[in-house]
Amino acid sequence: MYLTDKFPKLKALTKAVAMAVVVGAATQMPSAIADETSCSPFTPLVKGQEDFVYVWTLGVKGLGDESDKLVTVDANPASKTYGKVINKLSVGGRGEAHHMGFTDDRKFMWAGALDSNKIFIFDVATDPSKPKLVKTLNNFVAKSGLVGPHTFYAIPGRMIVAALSNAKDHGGQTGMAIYTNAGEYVSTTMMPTTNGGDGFGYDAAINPNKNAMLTTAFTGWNNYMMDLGKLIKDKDAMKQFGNTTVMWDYKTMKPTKIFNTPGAALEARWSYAPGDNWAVTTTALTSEIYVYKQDDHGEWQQHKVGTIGDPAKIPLPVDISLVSSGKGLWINTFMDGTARYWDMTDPLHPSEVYTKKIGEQVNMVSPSYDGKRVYFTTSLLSNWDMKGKSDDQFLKAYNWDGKDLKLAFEIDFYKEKLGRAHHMKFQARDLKTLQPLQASTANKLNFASNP
Amino acid sequence: MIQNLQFKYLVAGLIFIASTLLGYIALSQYIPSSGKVDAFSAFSSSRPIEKEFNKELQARIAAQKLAAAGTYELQKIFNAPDGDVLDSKGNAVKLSQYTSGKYTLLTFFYDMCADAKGCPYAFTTMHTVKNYLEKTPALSKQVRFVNISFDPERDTPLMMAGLEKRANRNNKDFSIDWRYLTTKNIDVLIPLIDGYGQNVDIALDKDSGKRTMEYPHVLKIYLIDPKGVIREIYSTTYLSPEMLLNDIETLMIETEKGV
Repeated sequence: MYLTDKFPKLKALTKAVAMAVVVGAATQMPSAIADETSCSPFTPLVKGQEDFVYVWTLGVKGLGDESDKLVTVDANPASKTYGKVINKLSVGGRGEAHHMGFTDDRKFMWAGALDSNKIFIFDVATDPSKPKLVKTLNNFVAKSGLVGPHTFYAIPGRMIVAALSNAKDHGGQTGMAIYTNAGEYVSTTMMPTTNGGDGFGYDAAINPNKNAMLTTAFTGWNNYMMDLGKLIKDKDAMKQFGNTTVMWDYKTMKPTKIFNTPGAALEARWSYAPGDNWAVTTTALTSEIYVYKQDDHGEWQQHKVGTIGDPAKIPLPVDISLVSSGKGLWINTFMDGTARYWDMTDPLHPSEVYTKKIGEQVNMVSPSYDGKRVYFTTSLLSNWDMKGKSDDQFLKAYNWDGKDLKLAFEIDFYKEKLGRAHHMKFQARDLKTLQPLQASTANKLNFASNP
Repeated sequence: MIQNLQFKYLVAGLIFIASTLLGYIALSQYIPSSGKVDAFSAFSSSRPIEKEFNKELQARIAAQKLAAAGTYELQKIFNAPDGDVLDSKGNAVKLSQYTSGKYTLLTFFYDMCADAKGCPYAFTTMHTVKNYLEKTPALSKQVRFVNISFDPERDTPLMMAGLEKRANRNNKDFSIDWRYLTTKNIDVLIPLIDGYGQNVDIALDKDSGKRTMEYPHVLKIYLIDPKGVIREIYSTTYLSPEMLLNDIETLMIETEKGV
């Protein structure tokens, strides 16, 4: 007799869907080899075939229900609904949906809205094919003083929420808030404004093995909510972009070194390949690649290692994603809709080895853990996306053989009346190997209160 | 009737002896030699996985530039949840009596966990911390370890008693108070693990669909201050004896300062 037979409550609970996360979820890779869509190294990874791709989608006025929504796409080629939208979950209203991140157990996914400052927590474990909105945080501004919850980065038992702006002037001075997994506010750390710091923020990424966290810098609400054409013509506004990156002592959450990195460094990625000790970012306005590597004395140094396209044309490098071996880097350039693959075998001397036009515009890129499948979406910000016919909005899935991207499927998010396709996350399930030993979601979120 | 009772007692006795023996065997391979202050002494096994893990651990510790104790603050994350547990004598007690008054390291585990990077890793790490602290009775008396089982069906109070005795075998006069707790049943356990935010799954056999004896989970160790507030959460990816000692010392300094 099993426990499920003895306890009806448990039996009901374990009927729920389980995730096929990494083999042996008990042991989350001390030397993680990971960039499964740039997840936190504290989060279990989907190392096999992903079953679903979640797309955090911006609502568009006059299109469908006009609301921001979480779109679930079947990504398993063995499924009858492969390449189809199998679920849509609107959150009500348009708040500038942007990025998402799993909790450290991959049971929940947080998704943020840069304008409304709402944070949505979805249960993606009970039935991964039908995520359920279980909590909405409306206190981000009141609790943290920050605006624009951008990056959701799991640490043990908590979530770092890296913001873009602040409530006082909606400029670029910002910081990072920490919440418990249950959605209770813990603390705020401001970006440094002394010793060379400019106070701007954007992304955060941690290398636990090095006790290091790299943060980057973008721009405040005043700019990211402005029409891009208007913004480019506004000289004062164009001065309000971050020009620094910061290496932190993750444990103490104190800056250890501040770098001059002109041109708004965006996504921060670590190579977790064994023996590697470097991170990488790209700058949106200056089209440069920067690598951060420890020198012989263990001090972090910044290296400008490459130029993406023709900076004079402002190709606008946006999302980047390292492959799991750390040997390759996908870089999307928004303005020409092009995906670029860089050989990072020698991270200090990388080279562009492949390009492919994905669409009129392209923003996010998410390779599978084995690197064989690569997914692209289009939206950057609602007021920065292309206008008219150039405003492609899609999810495209490709197979990658190391030489060429071959289209597997695509979904037109306008034709489907969904909206602007932005951030992607993968999920998997395997009912045959795992069942959750969990109480109801309501109980799970009825967490201990803050002191 | 009497024969039936005798038989039941005999079976119960055999189960107790077997459970204790199994617990001893399961844990003894991870216990460092008595009193030795060596973060790596527990990884002397010749088993390839552990040897490899030892290398990773050494590399990680060498790479981590830990700030000096007391020079940083640990977040007040949330109050340690309370709940009903069974101690190793089978007494029904409140968990809160083991999560306040001392600096507490608490982790969930199950005795059958065989993953070198899971429960055994937590046990080994905590044992190394214990050995270090017990060199100084003034420190060891301020610290408590708590293990709570995921598996109340198999990890009975009798089983916990065996593990507890084994864990506290050294330095009797100034041993760290190391408690092994279990719960009456899964229904009592679930609110506890949910309160702590500790996930756990039940692994099923791929072919039969039947439950195995594995409980995959993300390893977490909680550092709780004497006021019962969780101040740090560690996972396999971010855990070393040095880090635990550093953080415990940081909390002690905080108390000294009266923060």
